[in-house]
Amino acid sequence: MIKESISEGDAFVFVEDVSKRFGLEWALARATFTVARGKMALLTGDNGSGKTTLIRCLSTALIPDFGHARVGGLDLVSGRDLIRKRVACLNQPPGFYGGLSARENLTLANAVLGLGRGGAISEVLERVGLGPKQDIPIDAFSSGMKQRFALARLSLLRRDLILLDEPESHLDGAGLRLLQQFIAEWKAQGAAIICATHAQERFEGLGDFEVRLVGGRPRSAGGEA
Amino acid sequence: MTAFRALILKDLTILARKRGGFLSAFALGAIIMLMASLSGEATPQSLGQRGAAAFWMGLFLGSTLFLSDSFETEQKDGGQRALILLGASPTAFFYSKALVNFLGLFVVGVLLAPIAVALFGVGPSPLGGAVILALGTLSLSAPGTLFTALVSESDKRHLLLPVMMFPLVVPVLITVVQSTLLLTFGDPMGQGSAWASLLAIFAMLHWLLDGALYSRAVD
Repeated sequence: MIKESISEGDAFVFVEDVSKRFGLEWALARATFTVARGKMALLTGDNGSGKTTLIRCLSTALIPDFGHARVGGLDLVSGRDLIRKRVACLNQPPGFYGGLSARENLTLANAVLGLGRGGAISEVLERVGLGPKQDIPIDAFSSGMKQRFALARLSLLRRDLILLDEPESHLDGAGLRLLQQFIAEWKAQGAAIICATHAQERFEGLGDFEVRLVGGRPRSAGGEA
Repeated sequence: MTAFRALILKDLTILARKRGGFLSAFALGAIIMLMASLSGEATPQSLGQRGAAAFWMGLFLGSTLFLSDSFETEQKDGGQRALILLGASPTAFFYSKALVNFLGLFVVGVLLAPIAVALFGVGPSPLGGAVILALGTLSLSAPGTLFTALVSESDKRHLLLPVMMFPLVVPVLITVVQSTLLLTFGDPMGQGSAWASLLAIFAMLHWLLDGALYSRAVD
């Protein structure tokens, strides 16, 4: 189902006709959907279908060439700086300082972003299974451990919109269960979640609706409407 | 801990753990001075005059290695980008990084100074030399931090940085070399304070303007 127009209603994330072009190629064309608080949209599609482009637009890393989107009532372009304080994004690869340890990276994020949750750092690193390795530089981590570190940072942030770009990548069985627990908690806390994935079966019972992209175009649109 | 202090601590920690850029800057500066000391006339006056220019050229070219290495830690794993997208201030990143770059270049300059005296036979007084070194490295570190961010996406960043930065810092280099010469050979006309003031103005302008432009370079 492709909706021609949607109503913003009480949606926390409102995306209408968002499109992004690289050169002559439209990587994303007319993406339209809404996500309410406490809900998770699964963004699916083949490689190159525009999932990451959409995630990057919503994280304000890219500016859409067409269409508009709002997060918490703030326009994605004009309200960029305010939106950044309400959004958390797990990219591939997640950004960090490889020369610093996991604890140092989280201490830095806590101070730079003014989170005031310094006391929770060891606790969250224990939870993601990095407790014994929290003082080792991240450069020495495996890809799965880096992904667990990214989850720890995301959980420390407590943002209203959580963007996940293939968060299941590199995670083992225990890591995947941890990710599912985090998602359930974030939803219960009222966060809106948009998760780009190739493995939607791993989010069974967590995803509330699917937005499928084919060649940058939506083939099905969902949302609260 | 404030954001600024945390960012300075981050840069100092990484600098202490990965000293490659620092050591390369020192080595290149020393090599350039050695080559300059072996070329041209070997009279004490000629050597001394060449020394000031060689010292600052060596420090400038060495600084490009140090600055590139310093920004590579931001670029490689996307640490700075990730924190900016989460709402961190690019301006705080600029001033913390420029300050740590200044400290690093100042220490490289302090280590190169005795080598310059040994190679060229003369040098300024320690106190006056330290003031000029501080002003000169302040004037190099701010534009260096900005230009490193600008070229960081390019594969040819190690080549682009000196080429792009040199025209901008030519006035700084001329001023700092003149100040060093006046400190070394005496200042009968009392021009030293004017050159030093000019250097201080360059430093101030770079720290203000480059700081304002940095967010456009990285965001």
